[in-house]
Amino acid sequence: MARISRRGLLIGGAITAGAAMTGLAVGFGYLSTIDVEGLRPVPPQDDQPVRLNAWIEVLKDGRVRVAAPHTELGQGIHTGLAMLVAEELEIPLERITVEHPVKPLPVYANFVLALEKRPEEMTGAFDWVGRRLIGAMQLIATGGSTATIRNYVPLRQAGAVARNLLERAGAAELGVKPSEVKAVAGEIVDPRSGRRLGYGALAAAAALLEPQGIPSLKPRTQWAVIGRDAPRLDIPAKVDGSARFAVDHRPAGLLHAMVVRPPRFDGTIESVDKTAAAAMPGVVKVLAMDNEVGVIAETSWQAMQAAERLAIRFGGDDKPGISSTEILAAMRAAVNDRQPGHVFSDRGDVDVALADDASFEATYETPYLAHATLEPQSAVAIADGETIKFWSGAQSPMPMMQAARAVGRAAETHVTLAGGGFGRRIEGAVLQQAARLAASVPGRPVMVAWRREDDLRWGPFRPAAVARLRAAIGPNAMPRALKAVVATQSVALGYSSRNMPFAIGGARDKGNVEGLADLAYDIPNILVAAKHVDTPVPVGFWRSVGHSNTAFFVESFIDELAHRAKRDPLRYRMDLLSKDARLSHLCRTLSEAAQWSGPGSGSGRGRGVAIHASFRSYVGQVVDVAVSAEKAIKVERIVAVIDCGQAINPQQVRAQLEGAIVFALSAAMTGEITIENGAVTNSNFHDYPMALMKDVPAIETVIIDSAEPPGGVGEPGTPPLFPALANALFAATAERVRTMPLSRHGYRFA
Amino acid sequence: MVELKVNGATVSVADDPSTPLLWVLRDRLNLTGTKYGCGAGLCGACTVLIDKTRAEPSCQLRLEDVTGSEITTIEGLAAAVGVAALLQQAWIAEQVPQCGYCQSGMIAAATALLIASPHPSDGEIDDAITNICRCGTYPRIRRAIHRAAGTLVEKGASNG
Repeated sequence: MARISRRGLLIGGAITAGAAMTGLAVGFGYLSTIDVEGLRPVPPQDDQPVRLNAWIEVLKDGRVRVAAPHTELGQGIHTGLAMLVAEELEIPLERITVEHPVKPLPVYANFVLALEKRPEEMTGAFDWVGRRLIGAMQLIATGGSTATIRNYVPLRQAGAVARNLLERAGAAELGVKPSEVKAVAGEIVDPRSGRRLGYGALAAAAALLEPQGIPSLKPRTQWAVIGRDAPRLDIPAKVDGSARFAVDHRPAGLLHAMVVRPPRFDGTIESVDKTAAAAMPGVVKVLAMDNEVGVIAETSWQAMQAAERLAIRFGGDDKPGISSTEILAAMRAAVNDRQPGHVFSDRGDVDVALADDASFEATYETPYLAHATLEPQSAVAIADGETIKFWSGAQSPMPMMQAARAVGRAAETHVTLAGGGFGRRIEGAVLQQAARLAASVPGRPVMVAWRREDDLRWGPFRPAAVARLRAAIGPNAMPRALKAVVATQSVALGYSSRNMPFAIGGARDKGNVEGLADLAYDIPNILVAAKHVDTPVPVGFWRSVGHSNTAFFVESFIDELAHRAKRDPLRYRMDLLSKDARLSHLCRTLSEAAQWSGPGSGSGRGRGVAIHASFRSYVGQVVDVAVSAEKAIKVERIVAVIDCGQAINPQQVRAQLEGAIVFALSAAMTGEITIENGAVTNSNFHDYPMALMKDVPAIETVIIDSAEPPGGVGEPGTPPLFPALANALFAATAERVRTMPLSRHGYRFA
Repeated sequence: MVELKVNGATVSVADDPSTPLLWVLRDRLNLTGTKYGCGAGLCGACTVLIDKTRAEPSCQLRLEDVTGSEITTIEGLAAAVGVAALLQQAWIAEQVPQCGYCQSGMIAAATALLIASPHPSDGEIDDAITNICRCGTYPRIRRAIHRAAGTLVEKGASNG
């Protein structure tokens, strides 16, 4: 049986269970009908764009529309995918538009997220079954930094197959052999006669031809698009206000809804008096749902004002609620108790080494964090007969399908631009609210857009974690053994319990220790174990997920070992990575780019370094800080090096590195969701502040030139910043911060 | 009825005079380029240009505060103020936006800055641009402002 990953299965959710079982029951015959390549043309229809395959449509004027089953969250993925098509289709990038497909065809499924293998690695019989199963589940999703990996080969193939059809149609029209024509910039050209025909004129004839296999792809040396900086296709609309996010969708008759929930995670709604709210201007409907109350009005402001007038008696607060202080205490207790936890990595004999050698031990802690996408959770829904039509910047259409099913209807899924994602938009809550509220006013479109306060308080959050690391120090002051125990709250369990009919995860969730269990450092004896601390706090996928915790743990600890050994922290790491060619090269490149000459000698200035591999990419960062006696930190310089294999659009790889670093910088300085008496105390950006212009230095980025297949880019830049900053702070002040964020220790941005 | 002057046109709306300008722009006038981000004047996503001089968060302006003012949103910015068009071009040249949700407010704030200080220093940019960008486009915004102001200085290997 093909191995289906935890994360992919999670996102598959309820549909997974049903469709997978059906697929298995009906068996091979059914599976063989699932088209996972999508390379066949569709017979043309009058006046419609011509679909040369599931990925590529040609318009009458020769422009090309690419179906990109990935959400444009800001990561530039639509442009990157268009570049893959453009390279083989031979059409200028600016003649391509990109849209998320409405129809969830099996061909669009993200089998890389689900099966954790590159398409080009999927050659076995199990892979054949796995790809078709994932397709049958319509597991379309954007996450895990997989979109480029998933499409690197298939979209070039789609471009090449479509080009071949156009070449053959063009040759027939020009009365020459297909081998005699060339595709050049959106035209089929006969070089001898100089005659040329545009793709728009040829598409209908091309769509009647049979594909003749997949032409061989251009070698890297002949690329004209991939690997060169390209301007993003979505940027012009993002500077003049014309870009449309879900909150900007304005169908005729649009209504606006606000939703009220109990403040406590474990709270209930005992009773609702709707009278005052219903009497407010513009109010159309007040709807009590399971554990929420929705107010629908003509405008957003009217809905907000009316929601304030709801008289709700909340329950479930007879006992004191949980606090983040208690949760961290429970996690601390868990890493210190004698229970082994779930062991993910067990190499050599850690206990013998720890008994024989001098040892060093440290405990690190991280808080809950919010995504705080600048566009809060939002969706528009219309109940149109037996269908709910959705518009949302969701990271997957699957939660839309689930939300529609929950109100007994089918879904039509329109995935819009998203005002930031970071893992937050893989959740279904706002879609469920939109479906229920829309179903209560059939035929009227309803927008649900959360207030900032709702978005910050309702979560889900990046889980807090506590890690206890212990090293046996062998010859040359190098670690001979490492024992790491992480106590945290399983994201898999949190996600599945909210979004699926069954719960998976817990201590066995490998997200608890990703980045630690698969450590690249050459340490002969390693034991990595996880413990799950259950709480009512909702936790979810947050940019880089478990890596956002484990990089801080490991890279702080290694830094401590280096300093204790009085070794240069970068050279110390290089010694531990000498058997890993890619990471060694990364370290050398970082050392040169940052002009590394050691961490500095304190006195208020210092440099920190961190290296971390995640999502099939490798990132190293050097951070320079100046720290005043009043604990004001000025981040003076950040240098980041990435080895992400083949970069598709280098300027956007840099943009993602910059963005991932700033994202982590906010979290490292002040990011902390605080929970008291079962509820989040933070409410808005005054008590969940963000790094601003004045706080962010120039970020120097280096992309290692590589022809290796692409790795992820959206997330890998985030994890190393936490330890690099803490390590810089240590170099500057001799204060070792083992608890995030730095604001807990009195530090602030200068 | 409340009369407003928005992007050079006079419009009447029936909303209560205490209604925040943001929601009238978005829900009544369909000027959706101006975004909600916090409702508390903290993030700047809703920033508009008032009287072609000041950048202000429209979530904190009540209709009655701005009845006599010229309100310019992102949709009318380039036509109203020449420097805004330069900023938009610079934003494209520097490939600033990621998700793009904050950028209308950023460009409005940058427009007010360049009106007040045509060749701003880094310190002036720090003081004037206090909007939040969750995607972290700050280094590129800084470069785009310098580019529009003609004060762009290439610094080392920086690509930010």
